Amino acid sequence: MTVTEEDWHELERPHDSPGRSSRRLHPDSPLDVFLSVAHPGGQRMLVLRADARSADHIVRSVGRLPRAAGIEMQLSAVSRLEYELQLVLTANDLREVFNPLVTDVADTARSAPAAADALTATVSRFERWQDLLRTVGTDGLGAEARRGLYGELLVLGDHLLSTLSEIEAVESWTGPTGANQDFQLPGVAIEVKASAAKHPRSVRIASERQLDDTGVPHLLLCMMVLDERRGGSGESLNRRVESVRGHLASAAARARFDGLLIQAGYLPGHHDLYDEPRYTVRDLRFWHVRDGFPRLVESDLPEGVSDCTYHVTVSGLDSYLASVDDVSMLIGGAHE
Amino acid sequence: MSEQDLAEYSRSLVADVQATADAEGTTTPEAFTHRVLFDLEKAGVVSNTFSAYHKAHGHEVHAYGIGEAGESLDLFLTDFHLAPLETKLTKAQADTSFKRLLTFARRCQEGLQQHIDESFDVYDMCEAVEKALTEVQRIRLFLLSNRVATTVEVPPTHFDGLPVVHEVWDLARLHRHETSGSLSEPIVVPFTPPLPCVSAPSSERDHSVVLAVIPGELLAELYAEHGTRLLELNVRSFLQARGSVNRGIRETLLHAPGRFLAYNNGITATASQVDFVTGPDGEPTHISRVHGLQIVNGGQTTASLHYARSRDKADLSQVRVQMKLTEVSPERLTEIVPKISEYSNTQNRVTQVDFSSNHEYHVAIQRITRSLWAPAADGSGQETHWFYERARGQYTDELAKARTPARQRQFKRINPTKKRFTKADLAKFVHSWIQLPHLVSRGAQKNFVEFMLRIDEAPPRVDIQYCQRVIAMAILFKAVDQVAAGHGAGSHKSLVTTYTMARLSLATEQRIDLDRIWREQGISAALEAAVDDLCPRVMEAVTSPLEGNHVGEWAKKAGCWDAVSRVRWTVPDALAAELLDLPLDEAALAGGSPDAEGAVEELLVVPTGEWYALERWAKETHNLEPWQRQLAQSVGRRMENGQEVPETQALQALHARSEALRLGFTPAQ
Repeated sequence: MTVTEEDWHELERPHDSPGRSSRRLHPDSPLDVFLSVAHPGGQRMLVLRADARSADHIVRSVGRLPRAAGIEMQLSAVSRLEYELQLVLTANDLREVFNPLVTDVADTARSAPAAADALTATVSRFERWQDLLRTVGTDGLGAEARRGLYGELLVLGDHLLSTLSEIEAVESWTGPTGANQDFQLPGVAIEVKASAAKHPRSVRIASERQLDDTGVPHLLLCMMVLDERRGGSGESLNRRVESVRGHLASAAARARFDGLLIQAGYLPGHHDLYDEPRYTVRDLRFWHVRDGFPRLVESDLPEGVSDCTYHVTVSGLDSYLASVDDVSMLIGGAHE
Repeated sequence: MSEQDLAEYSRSLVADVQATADAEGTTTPEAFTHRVLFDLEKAGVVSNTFSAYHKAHGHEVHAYGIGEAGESLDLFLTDFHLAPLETKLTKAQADTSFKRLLTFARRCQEGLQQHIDESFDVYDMCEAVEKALTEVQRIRLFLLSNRVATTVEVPPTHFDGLPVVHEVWDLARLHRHETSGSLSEPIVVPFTPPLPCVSAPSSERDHSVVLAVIPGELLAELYAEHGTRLLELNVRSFLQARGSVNRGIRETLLHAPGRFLAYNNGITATASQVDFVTGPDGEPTHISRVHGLQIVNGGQTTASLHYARSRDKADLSQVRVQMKLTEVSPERLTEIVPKISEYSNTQNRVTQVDFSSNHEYHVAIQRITRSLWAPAADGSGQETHWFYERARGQYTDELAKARTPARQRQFKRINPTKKRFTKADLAKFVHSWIQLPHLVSRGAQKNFVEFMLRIDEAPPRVDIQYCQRVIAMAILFKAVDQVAAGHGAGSHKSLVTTYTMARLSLATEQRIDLDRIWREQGISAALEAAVDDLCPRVMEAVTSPLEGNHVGEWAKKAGCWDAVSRVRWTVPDALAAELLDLPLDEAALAGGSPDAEGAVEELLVVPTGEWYALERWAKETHNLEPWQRQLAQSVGRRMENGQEVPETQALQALHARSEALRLGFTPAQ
C-alpha cells in the first residue's frame, strides 16, 4: 500500500479533546503499525508499538536516533511493558517526502520476521532516508546521479511501460530502493549504466553483486550513451519525469512512481533544478550477462573480500549483445 | 577491591538483570535502572523515583526523582551493556549523557509534555519535571552504568540559575556500595590550588592534625553542595542566624568581611584521608585533597556563610576561616570525634544531652520514624509523621529546606509541630512508662543521662513496633498532662504527670494496649476516665512532701515514688476490660520475634492483586504521585515473587494505599 494525502485528511479532522486519531496499517505485521495524528497539534506520525522485550535491543544499542530536518524519530515507554517508536513530521514543507518515507518504513517493518527485528530495521531504514535527505540537501542531485536517474527513467518509459501493465512496470523499478539491480522482474533483472562520455570504453560495476544472476533466470546489462548539454533539442530530466507520468493513468501507479522518485532524491521542492541540462541518446545497448561474461561474483572472491568496484571493457562483448526484440521478450516473459 | 571480584560482580549483575527483564517482560536497561534506584533509595541517596524511558534526537532519560524535601530534581540516564568489561565508559560518553539529560530538562521546560500522549508514563514524567523545575533549588544528574568509568568526576554547572551536579554511578561504585554497606559516598574535596597548611606532628597512631585557613566562599559552596551530610558528626545543626553570636557572624559577613578571621573561632573538621603537597624537607606544606570530610564543630559558622551568600547575597571573597583538620582512621572516628567536639565548644556550650546524637539507638529511631506514618485519626484522612529531633534544630532545618510557603505548609501538615519530640522527651515518656518518675522529676538532662546509661547496659531492639509503642507512650503522656492541667496541677504539672502515668502503669501492670493507642492516635474514653480518677490522688501525694518542705525536691526522691505507689486506687472495670493479657515491659516493647516487622507484616495482609489494581486506578483517575503508583506496582511484583520488601518501602506503600482508599479507591472483594 501507499500512503497518500487522503489517508491523513481523514485523521486530521478536528477533535475537541487531546489525544490521537489512528489508523492501523499492515495488520499482519509483527508489531502494531499506525498512522496517527496528534490533537490538537495536528502532527502526523507513523507509530510502531511493541512489547518492551522487543524494544530491548534498540534501547540498549542505538546510540543516537537519526533525525532528518523536519522529520524526527522518538522512542518512548508507554509503560514498563510497552514501548513506542514514532516518526513525527515536524516541518510541513516535507509532507510530500513524508508520505513515501512512511510507506517505505512501514513496509520495512511489515516484512521483518519478528517485532525486535522490525524495530531495528525501522531505525536502519530511517537512517537511509536521513542520508538521502542530507545528500540531496539544497542543490539537488549531482550530475552523475541525475544522469543515472534519467537513464533508468528512459528504460522504464520506453521498454517496460510499452510491454507491461502500469503498476507492474512501476513496481519493477527497484533502483531507488537500493536493490542490486535497477529493475527486477520475475524473469529478468536489468542494470542500467548511463554515460556522457563520447566513446565510453568501459562500464563501471559498483559491486560483485551487481552482475550476479543468482536467483534470476536472466540478467541484462544496459549501457546508454547520452549527449548532455544546456539548451538545444534534448530532453530534460523534468520532461522525462512528466513523460513517464503521462503514461500512468492509474492513480495507484502514479502515487507509487512519485514515491520512488522521492526515494531516488528527486524532491518536489527541487523541480526548478532539473530543467537543465538536456539529454540526447546517442547509443543504447543491452548485453546478456551469463556464463562466460567478464564479471566478478561473490562466489569468485576469497574469504573477507567484498564490495569490489571494477570496470568491464565494452569491446569484446559483441557475442553477448541482446536485440531490442530479445529485451522485449524477456521483459514480457512474465506472462508466458 | 580486586579485578577478579569486579569481573565476577559484573557477570552476576548482567545475568541477574537479564533474568529480571525476562521475568518482568521489560527491557534490560529498565531492569538495571530499577535495581540501582532501589539500592540508592534504600541508602537514602535518592527518593521518590519514577522510571520511564524517553529518547529523541539530542535527549534521553530513563527516570527522574524528587528529593525528600522537594529541593532537588534528579534525572537518571542508564548505560547498560551485555558485555560491560570489554569497553570503558569514557569521559566523552559521560559528558554526552549528561548533556542529553539536561536537554531533556530544557525540553520539558519548553512544553515537551504537550507532544506526548497522556496515557504514557513518559507524559507523567515530563509533567512532573516541568513542574519541579519551577520549585527545586538544584538539579542532580545521575549516570548509571555497568561499565567502569575512566573518570567519575564532572564539575558542577548551572541551568537557568540552578546549580547542577553530576554523579557517575559506574560498575566500580555500584560494587563498592553493595559490598561495603556504607550509607553514602564519602565527601571528597579537591583543593585547587592546594591549600597552605601547617602540620602538627603526632606521636599517636591513626590520627594527626593540620591547621589551615580556608576561603569562606569554598566553605559556603561545600555546605550548598552537601548540606547536612557535611555535619553528620556534628552535635548540632545550625539553620538561621539567631542568638547574639550568630547575629554577630552575620553582621561581620555583611559589614566587615575582612575581619572574619579575627572575630570567628573557625571550624574543627575530620577526614579519613588527607592528601598533601610536601616541601623540600618532606613536611606537608599544602593540602591537595581531603577524603571523608566532616565538620565536627563550626556547623554554625559554615551554615551562616552559606545563607549569608545565598540569602543576603554577601560577598565572601574577603572572608577567611581558620580550620583545624584532624585525620582520623575510620575505626577511631566514634572514639575521637565526640571528644574533639566537646573540647572545642566554647561559643555556646552544647548541653550534655547532645553528645549522644550519634548513638545508634537514636539513629535507629530517627530512621524508622522518618518513614513511619501515623494513622489519620482526626477525620481529615491525612497521615502524618511523628518527627524525632535526634539532633537539635533538625525540625526547623527540614522546614527551611521546604522553601516556598506552600511547601512549608505541606511539611507542617505532614509533620505537625505537636508531633515533634526530642531525645529528652523520649527519655521522659519511656521512664514514665517503666515507673521511674523520680528520675524524670530530676529534669530533662539528668533524666536523659540516666536513660542513656540504661540503654547502654541493656540496648533494646529498635524496630517499627518499638517506635510505635514509644510514640503511644508519648500520646498517653500528653493525655495525662491534659488531665493534670484540668485538675489544677499548676506549676507542679510536669511532676504530677509523670507520677500519674507511672502509677497508672503500676496499677495496670504495664498492660495498657499501646498498640491501640497508636492505631487510634489517642486514648480511649475508659482510659481517660481512669486517669481522671487517679490524677488527684497522685497529685495529693506528690504535693505533700514527707521529707522537707519543697515539692520539687521531694519529687526527685525515690521516697516520693514509694509514697505514690502506695496510693490507694483500683483499676476501674471499664479500663480493666481493655487491658492486655501480658505486660509491655521493656523487653516486650519490640516486635514479638526478630522477623516480625510491623509494616511488612501489615503489607502481607493486602492481596498482591490489589497493588496492581491500585496502580491502575491511580493512573486512570490521575491520583497519587507517579512514584507512588510505580511503588505500588513494584511492591505487588516483589510480593508475587516472594521477594523482600524493605521496611521503608513497605511503609510508603501502605501510606499510598491509605491515601488511595481515602480518595476513593475500592479494592475488589
